[in-house]
Amino acid sequence: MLLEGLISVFTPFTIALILGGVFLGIIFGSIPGMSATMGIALCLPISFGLEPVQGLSLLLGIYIGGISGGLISAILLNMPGTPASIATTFDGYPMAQRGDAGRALGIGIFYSAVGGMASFIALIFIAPPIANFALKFAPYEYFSVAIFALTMLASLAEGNMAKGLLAGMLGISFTLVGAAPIDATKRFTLGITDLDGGFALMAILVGLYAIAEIINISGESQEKNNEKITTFKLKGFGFSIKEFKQQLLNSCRSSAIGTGIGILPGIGGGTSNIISYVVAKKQSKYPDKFGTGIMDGLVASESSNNASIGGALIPLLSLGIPGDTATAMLLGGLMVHGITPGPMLFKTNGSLIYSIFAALIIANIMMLVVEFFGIRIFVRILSVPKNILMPIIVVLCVVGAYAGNNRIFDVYAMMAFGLVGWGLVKCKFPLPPVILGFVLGKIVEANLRRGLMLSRGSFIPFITSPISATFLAIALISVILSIVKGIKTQKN
Amino acid sequence: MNDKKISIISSIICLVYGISIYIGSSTIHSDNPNGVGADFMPRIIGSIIICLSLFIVISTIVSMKKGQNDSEPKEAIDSGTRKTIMTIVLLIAYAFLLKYTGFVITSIVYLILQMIILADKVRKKDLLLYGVISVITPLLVNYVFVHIFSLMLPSGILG
Repeated sequence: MLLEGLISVFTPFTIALILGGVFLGIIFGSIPGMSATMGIALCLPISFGLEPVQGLSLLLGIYIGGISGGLISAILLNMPGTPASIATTFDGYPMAQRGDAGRALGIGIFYSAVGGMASFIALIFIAPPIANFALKFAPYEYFSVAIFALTMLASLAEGNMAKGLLAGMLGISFTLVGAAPIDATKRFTLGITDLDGGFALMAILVGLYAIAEIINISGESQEKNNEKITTFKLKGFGFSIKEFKQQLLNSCRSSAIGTGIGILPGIGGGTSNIISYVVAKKQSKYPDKFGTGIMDGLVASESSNNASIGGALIPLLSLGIPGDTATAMLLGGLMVHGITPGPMLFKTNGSLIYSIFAALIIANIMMLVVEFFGIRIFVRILSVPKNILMPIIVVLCVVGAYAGNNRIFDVYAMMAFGLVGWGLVKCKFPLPPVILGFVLGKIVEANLRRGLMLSRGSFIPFITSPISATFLAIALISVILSIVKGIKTQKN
Repeated sequence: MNDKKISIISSIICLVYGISIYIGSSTIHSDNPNGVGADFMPRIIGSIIICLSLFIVISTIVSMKKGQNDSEPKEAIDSGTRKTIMTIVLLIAYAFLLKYTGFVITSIVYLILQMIILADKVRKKDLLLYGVISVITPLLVNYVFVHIFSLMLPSGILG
């Protein structure tokens, strides 16, 4: 069965499909406004006409390339290509500004591959027990995990705690528009039917980062913008073996966080990259250097977002529950071929599982190779004059925003959030908490209400359930420590 | 306007925003015998926004009174601000016109205008370059996404 599965992947056509998928995924991932999920969705029809193994190989290639591709625009343009690369901008962009764009790209690419590989090993060897553990997560646990993730806001906001927290609350407030979870009561829709579904994540992300950025640089002299030309001298991936050893703990921890968060359905790379960045910062001996362009931040973000891929595949393959939006598309891809993922999959389609494992590993290696050779080309993007590059990006963002739901309203929303984002930046509010708040707000509210319905109005199970209590305790300790630290720095 | 004034004004805007969320939450129909209704979260978030905004306003005023004014020069209306305003107007017009003139035409017009606005100096040969890029890019994007990927893009009343 193992051999059968492996052999079916090692055909020239399948390998070519994986390569093409990775390539396409990288392009989709790197363009702000388009994501891995969209790439998979667009290629689903192509996969229908192929054999199951071939179709899946293509889609998995897109998935891996897409999540990783986000680092390119994050590092070079300070615009995360996908929500999974938001934290990559924190240290990747400053590093590129210093003239080290090649090194930043090399680090991001290498550790993307590392994180992905770590999660695939987890997938291959310990998927069933992990999946069983994930089944224990009821609404109480989800609520506590989301609250724990929200406390990361406090750490992201260090420097100006109040403004950062306020930014996070603004992000959560944007989730209040539309149909409420559980009972679908319309809230804050102002009579506009387009708002019934709330705002699209892509519209907000692209608006806040890309559109706001173009408004921001419009006032600057373009000559100043075009001065940063990088002389390209890159040895290997841009870092030494000594640095690799130093980052070992960071990369292992970040991969574990990414895998763990990917396993939880509904939370994926978009959240894990920020959480592992904050954890890396907190556990580092030099937290103040984070945000100035150090390797640690980049390693943390990129290891965890690719690790979430394997994590998201664990519940998909063992339980039939998609771990994030991209795996939800993959679920569609599987079912069209008559394959129902779940506990029986290992018995009924064992060779397919092994094919998937093989395809993942091959795609991971290809991503590494393709992006490595592409570093030179990517860095060239920096030398395109900004007054030509930015308008083109806006056009691509419009395509991305429109294509999500096929409606002009998302384009309007994107422009509106662009103005909001520009205003926030001008008033010195940080942007990452806004996105984090938006992503987590829905999870917090939905699970709070579900949990209360389960417990018939009682808050006690939130505290007595062991997993939930653990996360809430960590969250509380984390908040207290942040406040204490904030008071200490103010006294000095 | 110096940083402190910006902080105060932006926090007051957030305060108004928080108050309107809180007041708006009372219009939300909520009946949930077990647990909390649809108005719970808006109330909480609205309250937190109000508290945080007030905190920022008050602490900024306090630090202003303590004489910690950082004297930043006033930003004059210079060419930079004019460019920004033109960019914002162009972006809004772009989004608005998409429905009417379709993706390709609107994008071509947007691209060439935006490139000119953002540039410091526009020479004749630059114009040619901008024109070529402005026409090729939307056509290429339209071809790839509409014909190869079967995606839909706004076609306007002409398409």
